[in-house]
Amino acid sequence: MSATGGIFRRAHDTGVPLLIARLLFGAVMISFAVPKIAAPLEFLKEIRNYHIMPEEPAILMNMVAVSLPWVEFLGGVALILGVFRRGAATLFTGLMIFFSVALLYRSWGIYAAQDIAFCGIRFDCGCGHGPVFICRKVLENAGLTLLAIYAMISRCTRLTILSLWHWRRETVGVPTS
Amino acid sequence: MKIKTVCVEILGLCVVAGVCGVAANAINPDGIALAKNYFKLGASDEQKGERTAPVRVEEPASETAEVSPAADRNGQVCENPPDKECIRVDENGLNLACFDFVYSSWVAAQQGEAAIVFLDARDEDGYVDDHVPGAVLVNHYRQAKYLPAVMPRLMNAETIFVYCSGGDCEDSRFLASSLIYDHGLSSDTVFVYEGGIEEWIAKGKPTRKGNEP
Repeated sequence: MSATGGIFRRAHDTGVPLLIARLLFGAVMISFAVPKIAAPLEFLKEIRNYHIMPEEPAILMNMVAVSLPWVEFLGGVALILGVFRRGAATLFTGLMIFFSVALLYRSWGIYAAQDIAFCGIRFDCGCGHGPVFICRKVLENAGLTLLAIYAMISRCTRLTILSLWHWRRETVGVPTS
Repeated sequence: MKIKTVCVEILGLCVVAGVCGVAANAINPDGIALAKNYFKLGASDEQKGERTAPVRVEEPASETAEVSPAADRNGQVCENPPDKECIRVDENGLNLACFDFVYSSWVAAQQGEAAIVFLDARDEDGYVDDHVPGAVLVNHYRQAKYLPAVMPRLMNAETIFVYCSGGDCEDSRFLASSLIYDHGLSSDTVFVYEGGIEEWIAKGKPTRKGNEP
């Protein structure tokens, strides 16, 4: 193993890089989710704008509009706490790739219809933070996807709420009757 | 960790999210009606079975036609008489009205000459910023909140104009479609002002700010 690889391995084994990735990704997901939970109708309109879901039966798209923000919220909380970490990270990896493809697909439609530079395209992607420049959003998504993949493949179990609980039990000791 | 465990975690997250989503939506005053299609244009399959949607045949273009049929019916002469394309019917059976017809009707309504109602299908913020004077706010997505108060007027109106922002905005079409197919208003009285508030402002016509029509 090279010296650089060894440094990365030691840093990874401390659990700190994964903790940072989890906190960052989890916080971003929660910040995406909250506006959508508060205004599901606006999110529903944004979903429709992608034209990737059938409008009938209506309950299908409506259920996605009310459930998906909660997937983001609960998944974000799970990542921050370190519970269901791999499940949440795997789900987010899939969602990030799917959303990025959908975003590019919608942007391409706008690009083909309007005479503007691709990176000049700006619209509300339904991400929860209002209108954004698409190139920037795609880069942002790529970064988030890398974080999600790291959280997905990492075998480190340190610095989670469970490890904290176990550590506390071992340090303080369990009261005996 | 086994793939099975990851799948169980994903499934668990999705199920809990679904339950939380439905529960939160139910107690959210801005929640959505889960079974309602907010983007319906034209009659649904059930409605097609229940009633026969008005069949509209576009009149063949006539070289002698000076005034559109709707303008004839309302007895209005536009500031600039609408051409043959002024009022057209879209693929969903909705009447689409151009600026000239809308404006001449608005003038008539201001003078109390006709029972004409303007509906602003946008949200509250857009309405407060700028709206056509006399227009009533009926946010398409909040019909239950706004429609009951204005429904008696709509039932007696000769002409109803529905507008939103203009451009790509579709809310006026959704509302017009809902008025016809969900609330039973005659498709002959409901018109969508395609240009919307953007065109109205661009043409230099008066607007009003605030909550009052």
